[in-house]
Formats: sequence, structure tokens, C-alpha cells
Amino acid sequence: MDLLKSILAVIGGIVLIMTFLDLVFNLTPKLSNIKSNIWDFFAKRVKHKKLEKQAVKSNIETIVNVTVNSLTDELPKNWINRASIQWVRDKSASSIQNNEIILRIKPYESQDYNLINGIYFYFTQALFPTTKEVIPSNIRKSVALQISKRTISRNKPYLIPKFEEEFLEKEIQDDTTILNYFDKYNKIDAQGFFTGIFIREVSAVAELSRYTELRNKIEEEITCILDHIINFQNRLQKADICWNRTGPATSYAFMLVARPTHKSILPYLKRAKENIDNNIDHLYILGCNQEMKFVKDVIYSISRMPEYDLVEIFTLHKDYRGENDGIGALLINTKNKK
Amino acid sequence: MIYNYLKNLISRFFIKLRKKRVNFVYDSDLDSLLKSLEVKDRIDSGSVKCFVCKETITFKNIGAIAKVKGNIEFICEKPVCISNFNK
Repeated sequence: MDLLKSILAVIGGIVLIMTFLDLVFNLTPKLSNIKSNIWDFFAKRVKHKKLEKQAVKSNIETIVNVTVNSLTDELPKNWINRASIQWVRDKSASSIQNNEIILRIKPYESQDYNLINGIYFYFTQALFPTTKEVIPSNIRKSVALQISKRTISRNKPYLIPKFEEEFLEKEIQDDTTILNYFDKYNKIDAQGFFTGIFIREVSAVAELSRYTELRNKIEEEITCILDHIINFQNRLQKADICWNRTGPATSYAFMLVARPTHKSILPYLKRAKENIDNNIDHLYILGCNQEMKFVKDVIYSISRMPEYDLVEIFTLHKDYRGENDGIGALLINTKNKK
Repeated sequence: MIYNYLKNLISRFFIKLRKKRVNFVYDSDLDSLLKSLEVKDRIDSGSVKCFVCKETITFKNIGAIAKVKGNIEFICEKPVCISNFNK
């Protein structure tokens, strides 16, 4: 009886440790690098199929999940979840769901290709989860290409030439209109406007135009949003900057927050009120990381105004000055809530 | 203010715990998968075309397998075809 109790205690202990480690890896995917390196080490030395598969899986999961972990705070809420790779070996046709896709992964020697393929495959599937069918494929593809390129250059920069040659180039050859977007995305991403504003506005326009005539002209509208953002970015230091845009589906305004010498948030509240008076639907607040506390004060103060609802606070990989890390928020006009 | 901050923090925490399942088949398991899907003969006979570009599918150039409107379809290994299928 005592022996049984001891065995159960040991099993219970192992389960607890495994659950704890799983939770730690879930919350801090960077730690999964250790796990991935261990599998890598064994796979390279012991040529065994199961070890190779585990190394491939761990490698792709780690890179995708490190990126997803930082992107969940950057992209609209509920957009992307961590990837959980399932190996499929025997499966009957009836057990596969409609539109379910199984990607072939090459042997361990082609791991560079597997990584790029896995990352690009994940983002083409995960982005714009509810509006995929409304947004033209060249716009979505260029978004997936931009995010995949950023992911690869951050985690495995040596793979960029391979990505450009085998993925980007082939996508461009297939549809040259991708270049109309990809180049501009790259530019606005350098100052946080890509994930911060552009993607959110595209998603909102797609949602609102789903059953309207605007859907037939959605590419034109998205191009106008993109051009407005580029124009805004180019004129950041100039007096004739256009702080807002009113389109057929949505209207939005920018508010750039930097700590002023007078340390008062009143001018920002005044400007938020002006946007309400101008009937603007979405207010995007963008601030830099060094002034995080002040930016948050501004965001929460505006969110307490009865005219605004705080939709979300998000992080930016670059702030509007082009420096690493920034903070942003989206507030919506409660009067125009659609 | 604190309420909004905590609400944002907690919702982000739970989002991070969610997972999206991604299906992969390892190269050496592909043969077994094709047999279990009962499509191996179709591949060997050369009668299967890529769902996107209509190129003939062989064992060598299979890039992905998908189910479309109840049928098992194949996509060749070209990244363009896989991303076009996802659209």
C-alpha cells in the first residue's frame, strides 16, 4: 500500500512539474529555445526519425511562438494564437475537416526551408481571421509576406536571402501587384504604422463593407488609407500634416503623444474632444516607449471621457520616431459605434 | 483607470494561452498518410493535379494535402500554390 502511495506521489509530482513547465513555456516562448536546442543537439548526433521530427517541430514552434507572443500585443485582439504543431501520420479522409490543410515537412537536412515554409504558412492562415474573404488576396499576401520577413529577419536573419529568393520572388512573379503594397508596408512598418493603424483600419473597413457596395471597391479604399498613412509619415515634421481621414466606411485620426514641457494632459484631452466634434470614429494614440507612463495617463484619461470607449492598448515594434518599442491605443467614438 | 488596465492585462494573458493547431506531415510519414487516406493509387497513376496550378502531382512534389468540399485535394510544393490555397 505504501509502495503504491509512493508511486502515485511520484507520478503526481511529475505531472505537476510538466504542467508547470508547459505553463512557463506557454507564457515565455523564448524559454522554448532551450527545449529546441536540446532536441537539435540530439537530432544532429543520433540519427533517429523520432528525434528529428521532434527537433523540426520544436524549432518551428519556438520561432512562430516567440513571434506570436510579441505580435499578440501588437495585432488586434484575438487575431493570432500560439501555434501547436500536430504530426499527422495515419488519418482517414472522414476525420479531416473541410478546408483543413496538412503541410508536408521535409527531412531535417532541409530545416531552413521548413522554417520559412512553416512561418509563412502560419501567417497566411492566421491573419485577418474573420475578414479573409472580403480583403483582396494581394493585400493579404503582402501583409503575410511583410510579417514573415520581419519574423525571419529578427530570429534567423541568415535566412532572409532564401526567403526572398524562394518565397517573395515567386509570389511577385505570380502577382506583380503585391509590389504596390509590400514596398509601402515596409516603409510604414519602420515607424509602427503598419500593425498599429493600417491593419486595424483594413480589418474595420472589411468588416463594415462586407454586405455593401463598397466591397466591390475595397482595394481602392485600402489604397487610399495606405497613401494617407504614408503621406502622414512623410509630413510628420511639417505644418500641413493631415491628422485625420474620413472614408466611406470609417474615419480615423492620429494623436502622437510625447511628454510636453508643461507636463499637462489637457491639450490631448482638448484634441480628443475636437475629434469627437469632427465626428471621427477611431482615435489612434501613438506614443514612444521612453514616455510610457505619460502616454498611458493620456490614454486612460481620454478613455474616461463619456464620448470614447477604449478598444485596446497595443505595443508597437517601432514607435513613430522609428525607435524600438512603442505603445498605442485605439479608442472609438461611442456615438458612431458600428 | 486601474480597472481598464487590469482588464487589458488579464485579457492579454488568456489570449497568450490559446493555441492554433497546425497540421504537419513528416516526409517519411507521407506514404503512410496517403495509404490511410486511400489516395496512394491515384498519386501513383499520375491522375491527380495540383488544386491550384493543375500541375500533375507525384509523390515527390506533394506540398500539402487538404479537404475541399468533402474531397481530398493536393497542392504542389510551390509556396505560391500553398499561399493561393490559403486565400
